[in-house]
Amino acid sequence: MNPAFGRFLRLKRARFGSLLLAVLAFVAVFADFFASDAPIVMTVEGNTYFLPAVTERERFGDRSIAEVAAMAEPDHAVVLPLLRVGPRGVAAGPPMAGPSLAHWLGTDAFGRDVLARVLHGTRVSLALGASVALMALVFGYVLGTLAGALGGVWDSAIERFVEIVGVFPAVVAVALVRALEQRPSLLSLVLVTAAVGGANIARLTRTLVLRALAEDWATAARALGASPARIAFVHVTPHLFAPLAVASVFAVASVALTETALSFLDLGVPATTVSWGEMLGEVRWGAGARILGPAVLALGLTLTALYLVADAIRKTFQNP
Amino acid sequence: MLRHALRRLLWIGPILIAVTLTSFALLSYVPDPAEDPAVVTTLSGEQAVELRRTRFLDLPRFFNERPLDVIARVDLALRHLGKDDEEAAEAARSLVRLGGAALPHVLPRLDTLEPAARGGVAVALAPVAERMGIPSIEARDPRHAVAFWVRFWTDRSVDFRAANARRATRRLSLHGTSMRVADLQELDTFALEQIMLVLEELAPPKGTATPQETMPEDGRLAAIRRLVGAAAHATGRDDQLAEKSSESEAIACVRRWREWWLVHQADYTTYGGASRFLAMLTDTQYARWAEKVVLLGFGAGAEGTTIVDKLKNRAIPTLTIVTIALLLAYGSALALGTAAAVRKSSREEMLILVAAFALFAVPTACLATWAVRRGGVGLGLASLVLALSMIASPFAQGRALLREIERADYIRTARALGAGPLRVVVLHAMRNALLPAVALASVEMPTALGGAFVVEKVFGISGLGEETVRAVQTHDVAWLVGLAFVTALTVTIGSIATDVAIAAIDPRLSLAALRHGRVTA
Repeated sequence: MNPAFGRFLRLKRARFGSLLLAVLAFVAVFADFFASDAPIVMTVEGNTYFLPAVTERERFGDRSIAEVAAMAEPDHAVVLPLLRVGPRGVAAGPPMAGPSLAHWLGTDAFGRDVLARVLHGTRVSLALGASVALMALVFGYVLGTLAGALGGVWDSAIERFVEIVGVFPAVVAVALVRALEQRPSLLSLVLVTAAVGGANIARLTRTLVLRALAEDWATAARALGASPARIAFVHVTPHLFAPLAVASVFAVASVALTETALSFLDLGVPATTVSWGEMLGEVRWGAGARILGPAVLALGLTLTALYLVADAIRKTFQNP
Repeated sequence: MLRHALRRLLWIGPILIAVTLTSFALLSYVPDPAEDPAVVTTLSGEQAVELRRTRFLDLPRFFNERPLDVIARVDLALRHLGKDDEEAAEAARSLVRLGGAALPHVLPRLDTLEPAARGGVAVALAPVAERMGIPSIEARDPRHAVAFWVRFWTDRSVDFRAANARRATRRLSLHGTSMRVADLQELDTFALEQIMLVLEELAPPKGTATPQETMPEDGRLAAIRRLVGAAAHATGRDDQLAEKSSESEAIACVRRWREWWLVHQADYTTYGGASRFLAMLTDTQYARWAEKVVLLGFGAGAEGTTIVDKLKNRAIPTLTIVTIALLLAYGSALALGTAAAVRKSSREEMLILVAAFALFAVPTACLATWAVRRGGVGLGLASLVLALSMIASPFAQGRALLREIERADYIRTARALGAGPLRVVVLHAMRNALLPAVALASVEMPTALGGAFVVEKVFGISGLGEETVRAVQTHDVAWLVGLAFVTALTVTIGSIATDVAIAAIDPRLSLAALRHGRVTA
């Protein structure tokens, strides 16, 4: 095993953070087993369906769980999920209802189950966050390192480019793109947030690279005949892990927060999206702590988990 | 350092131009309103065409090989009328719209048209005769209409010259008798070019020459009112000046007319010789848009104020909130970070961290709504709310750096020399930890602006955000480009300030380092 990985695993915060992330990822992947409109396994007309609400959406997607379960053949076993309500299903009762047996955390302004939405929101929110953070990280790291290492004209050119991308607040940039679109999409949200976030990371990287190049070991590497690119990508890179890890933690959360800001400003995330950002945006319909709390908690948990891991990375690469 | 700052300041110009170019290129892909299903249903066909024209969507993007002037438009209309195809009705309408300006190109050609088409064209022109104040039953009668227009042209072709139009316009601006009004009315849209020229003299845009000194104030307003009235009559555009309107109202009205003229002048003017070649470049989306920015300050809004004025008014509260919030957030993050580093109590540090994260995870919208529901109002509270959600990032970053720096040799030396923990952190470690924190501050600026939009909405402060949301929903390109410009300006100045600050904090990174991209000694 890589010694750095061993050091990483020996840290308590690394283990705890990773565990928390694993739990979140588990919920994201298997949300349909926890809360769904349809049984997990059922048999209709001799065919056995697995997760029928997902795999056979046209046929079962629009029905309530009781209707779908009634379609099942009586002599076959039906496996029901823990919560018998999906994230999009509208409850029969009044909207904004308090907690009840059917809806453990109550329903929102549209009569949708809050708990089911938090569980299912994990999937979209984590996927959005991870993709934005990854894209921003690659974009920012490569550009920032090149700018810092090459210097001169390249530095100026990259700096100006990054500046032009970076001057747009994510909300404004998405607003500009929204003006172009016939209907809002998640893809534009991801691309724009990643570009803006990447520009920020590029600037941070450049500063750090410049600082690192002033160190004695960088001079030593140069004396040994290493090219600037080699120094930057091989020698300097390990020194970037800690600050970049911390920065990307915030990139993950920034998507959900941008999403919230956008839906709050009526600049629209698609209404059908089930995500924490969309839930938090419900504050504009007068949602209180009961509806917002779970989403904030989930977002906070994700952030904490990520930060613990990032902090552990920092500690792993720190001089002993 | 000063030289470095100056060099960066010189870069602002190119960056801003690049930003506007980018946003133009981007926004030229704003969906065609005529194809937007949400818009089309609410507008009639003519309104949709008009909407397209005000956004220059009928023009090509960068190069116009066949600029359409009044002659070309007349040709097009006559061809459709001659064929009597499904677009004939539309062509007749466009002839009426072109009006007097088209007559010198239509009437002499009446003889060359086929007899059937001739009658059609003559009848189509009937509303023009009415508008010119020559009510005639003949003009509406297909049998006599041709004769009417031929007679009209033999009588009055002399009047349809630029010199005559200029004379009539000047006279009307001096004396408001019904004779003068009728004179100009008879020229119909032919006089528009001159009217616009005179209007520009009477109500010059800000910053240029003072209005004609020779004319008394109320006389000038009356002249503007008469000319605007004549233009409104000829074009059927309902934008006139009331009897008792003020100077600023008059200027706003003239500005609206000039903006309209910018869009529609090709309908009423002819291109000949050099101006035809020029029109190849100027009759394009890009050139018109740039012209609008330079001449009219991004174009006049509905109430006649330019976007530049509106941006100025609305940017002030927004930028105030952002600045206060940034200072608050970084000040407190610094204080908290120092406290955490000095106390070295991991439990306290964890507590602060969790609190900062909790604040970060609560979206600004929720926090602000909560504050307002508790009865909070005002710019100060709005800034505080914004600041709260921005503490986490600099705190976490600063903490990570302080941790790393604490193990550096010079810290151990300082400690060995007997410096207390506070002294070590504040005097020795802080300086190095500040560097990335300041770099982070410049990148937080845009985020803060985005957050400010939300806070404004909740606190009911009319800043940039409100207007932007409206612009996005109505696809208002002018405002969006203006917004991009202001944001870019603010953020660029902010980033220059941070660069200077970075150089001040770490002399290794000052001039030499930044110029060569790397430290040499």
